Amino acid sequence: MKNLLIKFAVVSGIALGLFACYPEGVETTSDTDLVYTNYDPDFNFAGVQTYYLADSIQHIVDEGEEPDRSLDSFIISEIESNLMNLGWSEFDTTLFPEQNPDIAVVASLMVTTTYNVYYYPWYPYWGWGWYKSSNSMDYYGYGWYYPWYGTSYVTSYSTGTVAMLMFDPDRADTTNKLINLSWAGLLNGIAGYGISDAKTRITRGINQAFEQSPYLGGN
Amino acid sequence: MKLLVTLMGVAFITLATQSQSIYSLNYTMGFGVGETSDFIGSPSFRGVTFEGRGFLDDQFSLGGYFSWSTFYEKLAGEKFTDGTATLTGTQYRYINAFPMLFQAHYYFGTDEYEPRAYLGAGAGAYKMIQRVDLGVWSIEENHWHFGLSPEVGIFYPVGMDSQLNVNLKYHYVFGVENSLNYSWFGLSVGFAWGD
Repeated sequence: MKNLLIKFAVVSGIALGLFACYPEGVETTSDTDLVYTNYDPDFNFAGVQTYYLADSIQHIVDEGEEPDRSLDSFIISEIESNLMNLGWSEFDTTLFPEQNPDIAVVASLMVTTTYNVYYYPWYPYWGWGWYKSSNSMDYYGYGWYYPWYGTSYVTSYSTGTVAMLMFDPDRADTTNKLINLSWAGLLNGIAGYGISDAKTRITRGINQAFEQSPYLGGN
Repeated sequence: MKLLVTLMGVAFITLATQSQSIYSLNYTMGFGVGETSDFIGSPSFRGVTFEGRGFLDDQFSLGGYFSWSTFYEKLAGEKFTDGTATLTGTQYRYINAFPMLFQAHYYFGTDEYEPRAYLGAGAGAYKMIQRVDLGVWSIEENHWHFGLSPEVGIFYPVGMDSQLNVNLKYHYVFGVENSLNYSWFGLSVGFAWGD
């Protein structure tokens, strides 16, 4: 009996220990942050001296939905400071109305909400006490029938995507109305709580996008 | 592959009913090598192994082996470049390995009340589940594989029918489709009991 208990304790201990230390994954919303950049290798970024940055952000929302513009000016200022860090100058359209900047920069913001629906079928289990092991064996192998609806619950999460796009206005295909992108930087992550958290992550993401694109500075 | 698993299950049960048999339950650590360590550099400290061995005579046994090891690594803020594209983010990498092996052992010594070193070899099915979580996306490779596994170990008696079991096992798992060729060393420590 003693040996049996020891063996049971060893088995239980190993099993519990294993489950208890199963590795976790994402712990905070910022753990989901991604920064993606890509560029046109034929574009000469070293030749860029002036930029034009659109002063509003394009929001991609469902029809009839009002966009939340609370972060627009912040995002634009963060992009602008990175453009200036490249040594580029803001293009003054009033001084040179007939000319184009070397590069134009636009930004867009999209928030997508994903819903997950989980469904719990309710059924009785042995622990409820009405099961009598010796008398109920006639029902061995029976399935459960439950005439009422199960319980369901819904979870949702929102992911935010900030897209920064650069293009040379002189290279726009006016015939086919196509814009050849020179550079794209995308930030994506699960939306957190609070404007402060959002700003921190946006700043970090935008800075990372420029940092991982050293060719923008001609390098 | 299901046939292979079934055959191993039948072999395991058959051998477990032999007159002389030993079971062991072990804590198992894993140390990836080759493509496994390229994918996850950290060793695994999450593993459990259950074995049953039926003795044909004092020095030979045949048996079954089941194990579960989890390899895990978090790559925080790593940068990945492919051509002109660069992606930065935190990756969570997992490998869950479930070897189900038929195995044979040779023992140096015939006295079960003395420490006995042994050599072993296993072959059989490996269920390998490999996953990368990145952002809100998850990429999973989930396949059955064939693999081989040589082993060296020792039984150290600690009671009338209990023995300390320590062994080192090398797993080589042949890749299928787009999967890796997995390989790792498993170091197990546990108890064995039986008559």
